[in-house]
Amino acid sequence: MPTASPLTRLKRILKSNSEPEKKATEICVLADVLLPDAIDVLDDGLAGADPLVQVAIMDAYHTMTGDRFHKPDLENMMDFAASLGDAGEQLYMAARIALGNITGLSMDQLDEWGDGQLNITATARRRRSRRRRGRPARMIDEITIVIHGTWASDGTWWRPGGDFFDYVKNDLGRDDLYGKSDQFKWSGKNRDSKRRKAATELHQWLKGHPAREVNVFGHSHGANVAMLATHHDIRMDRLIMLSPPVRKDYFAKWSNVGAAFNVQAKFDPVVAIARGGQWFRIPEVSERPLKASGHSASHESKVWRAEKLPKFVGMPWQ
Amino acid sequence: MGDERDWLDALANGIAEARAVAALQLAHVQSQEVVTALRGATTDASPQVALAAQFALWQSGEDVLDVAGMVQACVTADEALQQQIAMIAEQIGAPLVPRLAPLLNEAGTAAQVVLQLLDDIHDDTALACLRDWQPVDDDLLRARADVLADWHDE
Repeated sequence: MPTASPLTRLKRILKSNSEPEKKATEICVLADVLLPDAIDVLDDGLAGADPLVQVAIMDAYHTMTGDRFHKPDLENMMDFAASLGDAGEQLYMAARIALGNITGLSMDQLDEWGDGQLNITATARRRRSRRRRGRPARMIDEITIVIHGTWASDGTWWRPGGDFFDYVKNDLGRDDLYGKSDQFKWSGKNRDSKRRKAATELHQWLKGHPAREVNVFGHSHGANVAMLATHHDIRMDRLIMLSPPVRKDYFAKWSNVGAAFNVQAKFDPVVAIARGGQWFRIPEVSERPLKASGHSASHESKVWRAEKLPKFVGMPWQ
Repeated sequence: MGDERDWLDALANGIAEARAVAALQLAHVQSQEVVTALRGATTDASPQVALAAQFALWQSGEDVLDVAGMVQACVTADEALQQQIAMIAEQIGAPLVPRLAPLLNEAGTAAQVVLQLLDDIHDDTALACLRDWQPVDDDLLRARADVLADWHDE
């Protein structure tokens, strides 16, 4: 009887009712012999899988492609596993090994990882030790995030130390503004499929960072990514859209948005070229034309100060 | 026509963003005065205005796109100008591919920009172009491999 191809074996494993440990081990063994046509199968297998199987899939994905795409997911997974205390030990170790494979760091280096970056392992360990003392992992009260737009994934303004990030965090007092190393980012590629993929990733990211109140600043197509994400099962209490190209096919599921705001520059060649317009003209969105011009104006701290935008978006938020 | 006159005035005077938007508003207007003004603006000192005027004329059927200039501008541009270029490329799409292809062999950062633009256009001709390309250094080889792998995933 001929041996089944690696792809067929992978499909069987993913469909099987085996224990997660067995499935994860088999996926890791297969990873070295899988061909590129298995990537779609791995992607499909990711959704809804047991966390341990998810880690194995992410590790296999890296083995096949050399791509570090799932690095933030594995960091989240370690954090999540650590919050489970002893119950998450196995998952924690698996995610740590996979993260080591992706980053090329040794386990010792992973332990020490953190000088100049977030010390994921240290954070996780602190949480684990608290858990051991009997404190349950809790959903945080609030989280605020900033989402960049097209071709801006390497930008600085939305990261810690950047103009807008520091303004929101320090001047506007949003201590909950998320700036850890797994801060949400997306490819920034300028096509519809990538924006929709990013919306799915944002949904997953928010599920991995549960909070009772979610506030989102999204610039340009980053605002459209945020709107698309509301069609998944997440709620945004405040969605502040900064110079989005307004397109009906990207409209939010408004029932999942508490309050929506649209800030647009007076003259913006980028939005003028992108398919769409500047204004929603619907009751769900409060809109503000700026005196300032340019596509970046809406995320500049000097514009926020000069044009009293915190007041427009109802800050301080209670 | 009042609007046309207003936009012509706006194209002639003011800040770059306003002039660029004015150029875009004048796309499809066929009067000699408008076409002449747009042609004049295609070499404007502000790349925002120049690119907007070139794109406006392209929309009117006149191809004066300086694709090499656009790519070079992108290398040193701020985020907003890069995004303007990305949006222009998105709107033009496939016809841009044969103009971008020869620029892939420009060394370094410019080639990265071309790669990014072709990735965004993302059609069969762009794919063929990337497959045929022989990058000259390891960074570009890796970047090309990443794009093709990502393409395959989709």
